Amino acid sequence: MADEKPQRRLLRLLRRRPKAKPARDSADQNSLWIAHERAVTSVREVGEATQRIASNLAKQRGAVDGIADRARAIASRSSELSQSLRRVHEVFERLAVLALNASLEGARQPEGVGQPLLLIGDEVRSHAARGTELARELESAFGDVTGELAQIGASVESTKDTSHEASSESARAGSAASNAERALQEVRESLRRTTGTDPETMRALAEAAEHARALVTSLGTLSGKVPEGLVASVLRPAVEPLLRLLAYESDEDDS
Amino acid sequence: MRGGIVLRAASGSFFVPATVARELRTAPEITRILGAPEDVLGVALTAGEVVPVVRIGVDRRLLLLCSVQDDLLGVVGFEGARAGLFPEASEGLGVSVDGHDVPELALVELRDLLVVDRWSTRGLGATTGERRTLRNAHVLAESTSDRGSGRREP
Repeated sequence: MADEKPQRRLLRLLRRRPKAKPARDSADQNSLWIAHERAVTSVREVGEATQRIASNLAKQRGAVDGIADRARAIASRSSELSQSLRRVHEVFERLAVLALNASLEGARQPEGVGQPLLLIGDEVRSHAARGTELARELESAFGDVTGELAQIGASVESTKDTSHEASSESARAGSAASNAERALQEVRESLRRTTGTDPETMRALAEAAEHARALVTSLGTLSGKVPEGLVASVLRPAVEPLLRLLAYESDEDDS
Repeated sequence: MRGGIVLRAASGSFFVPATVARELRTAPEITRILGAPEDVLGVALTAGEVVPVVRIGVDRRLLLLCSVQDDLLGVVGFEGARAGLFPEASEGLGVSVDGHDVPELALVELRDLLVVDRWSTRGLGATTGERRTLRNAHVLAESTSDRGSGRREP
């Protein structure tokens, strides 16, 4: 075997059917490490996302608290306005009574004398009635507004509760992500101990295998088209370390 | 034409002449009197006087102060009122309002509700034989008390 030409040996070595089990183990280990890396990345993303969610929820809670404060202030102001309108209503009612008394006084006077009082009384009573009606409508509208505000307040409180629950869930999710990250770290250590590899090595090996496959494919393409001597002379400087490695492994296997 | 005020109650409209109707007021607090008839609501302090109050309906917002002969009488129980000059009714006493006859309120009958002797004996310690109204009841009650204690009646 030592007399064999290096290029022949290279091709033989490269074409040698690899042992099925170690290759399978290597592929499985590589898959395991890839899956592990994917899990680590995903768990890290989950952790970051939960932090962002928690931050946004905190902002939302602040905004909702602001809305709740404003809703309470508006409700209080609305209540004051409602009371003012009630007083306006009462004033119009008293004005109407005053107008009726003026008309009554006009009616008590001899005919002709009381006429101006009757006219004024009628006019004032008409305006007072219109004012009373408007005040009543405004009171009713304010009652509706107050009711709506109460509903808004209830909705805001409900939103606050929901936001609080979401914050708790987010905190739990963050904690779970941290636990998962720690667990994956332990898995990584176990994998490293069990397989004697690490992700970087497995990644480099996978890349090397990929390149080797590409080399074999290229050599297959060149076979018969280019003189073998030319191929060997071009490839030798590049593949000599690999040849040494493969020769060493082959010797180990033979022994 | 007759001057006065038309009161609108649930049971109908009633006319009170301007010579009787003194003043319309927002109804003051009314103090109930034990044993009084249902339509006598009690007494109220209004215009500086204690006035008996009778009702013609359920509303309690306004009170019409009336002079019935020498007595003041408060009337409540109307939802609305209209004052001025009204044409006389086509039939009987009263006026015509928007083409409808409105009867005159029987104030004397309402005042007669205040005769204490007609009330339950639980009210104001009534005795028979003497005509008492709310306005003189306290005087008569005092004289009755004097008789009971042997004092000479003034």
